[in-house]
Amino acid sequence: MEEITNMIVVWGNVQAAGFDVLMHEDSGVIVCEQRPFMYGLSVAGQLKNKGLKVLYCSDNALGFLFYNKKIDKVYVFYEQKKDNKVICQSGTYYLCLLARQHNVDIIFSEGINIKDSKDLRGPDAGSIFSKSFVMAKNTDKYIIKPEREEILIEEFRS
Amino acid sequence: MSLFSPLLFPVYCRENIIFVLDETALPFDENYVKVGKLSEALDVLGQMKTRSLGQVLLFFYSCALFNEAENAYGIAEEFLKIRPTFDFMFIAGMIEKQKERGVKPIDAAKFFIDHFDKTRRTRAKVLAGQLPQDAKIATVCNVNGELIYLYEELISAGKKCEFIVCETRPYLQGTRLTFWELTKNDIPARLCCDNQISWIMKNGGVNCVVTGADRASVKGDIINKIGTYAISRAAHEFGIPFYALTQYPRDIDIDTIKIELRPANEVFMYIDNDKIFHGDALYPCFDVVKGEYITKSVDLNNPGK
Repeated sequence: MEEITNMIVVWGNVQAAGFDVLMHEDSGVIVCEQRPFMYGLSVAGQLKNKGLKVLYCSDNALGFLFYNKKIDKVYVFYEQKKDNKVICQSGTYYLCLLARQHNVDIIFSEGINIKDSKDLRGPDAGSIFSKSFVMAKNTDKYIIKPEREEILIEEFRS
Repeated sequence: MSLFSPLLFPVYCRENIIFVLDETALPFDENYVKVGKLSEALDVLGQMKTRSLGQVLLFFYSCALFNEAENAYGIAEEFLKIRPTFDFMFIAGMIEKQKERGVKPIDAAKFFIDHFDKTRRTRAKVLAGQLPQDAKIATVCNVNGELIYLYEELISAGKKCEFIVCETRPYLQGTRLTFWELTKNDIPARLCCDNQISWIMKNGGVNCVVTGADRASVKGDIINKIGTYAISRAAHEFGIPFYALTQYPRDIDIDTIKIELRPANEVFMYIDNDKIFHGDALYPCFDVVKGEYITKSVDLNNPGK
């Protein structure tokens, strides 16, 4: 654990320009899996291929990393920007709240815009890729579907 | 009402064989692994087949059946090599005290289980009295069936409730254990990804949090499953009460306790090998939550305090 210091968290669906931005950072990068979409698997692989030092973890390990002061900065790659808000994938608010509570700067940067993909009903907490872990039938009733989250930039400005 | 979960008693002993519910196989298979020697007990612990109450029961029965070590402290040392965050030495102390009084470890185990079950029912009743009339309860990981007791007590107190269960990556104990045992008993429950919980709280979907605690200090700090810290901070942000189910709080500095770091490959649990990220990964198994973020610790031996 001691060797993990001054890390940057990368969150969202990073686009090409985003990778260029990250290449100029002189820090290791933490990539979370980003349930239920699992974007983290792809982003982590791409960043590693570009030569960045990447550490992968589950989303719920973020609290542990903030608590232990391992994170210096957060990059959120949003889907859309509207006035003073950014529209982000499910889970972004969880990260932003932790960052603010630990006085860590958040940089909002444009990510891949998937506005055409209105259907978020595909992946959810009941499964990972195609494997389901829920025995109950009629899962629509039991699973809280992921929503796009509107993040008010001002709320998280340092 | 008669509700049940095998997780209420995940380990039992018959004819000098320990039977351990394989929690990694749930919810698809309800299998029990036979344990006949200490090395097998350590294996099932290391493979995460049991945890929480199961690991306590496994320890009790190991002390009763296996004589590889001179006493319970020796067995505790072996267990601690596998699971450093849990206080097996404290349990060993309980067993050795009973031995000094002439109580055999197997009888100490039986007494512990009986006492534990009665007191956790009492704890559930006390907690039910404190939760809102229409409780929307967020939870994480699994508390070995105690949420079933809590549900029974809430209903008997004329309250309504729904559980919002965080999936608890990477082992999915929230999904595979808690959500399973609740829905199996027709208890209202909904499942979410760990990272959804803050948004749900922000939008009024939760009005209290109930979690377990693997360790607790007399100052009110706890150690519990990874993800608990973020939940506690989100709850604090929105003024949502956070209740921790504790047992045997010790006079310790919680930050000095070694947090178990599990093998990196476990971060990718339940993901096919061709899809995983082949690089460095980190899986801290537990979070520290300081007392300032805990509204109340509902302790096993003094729940009303």
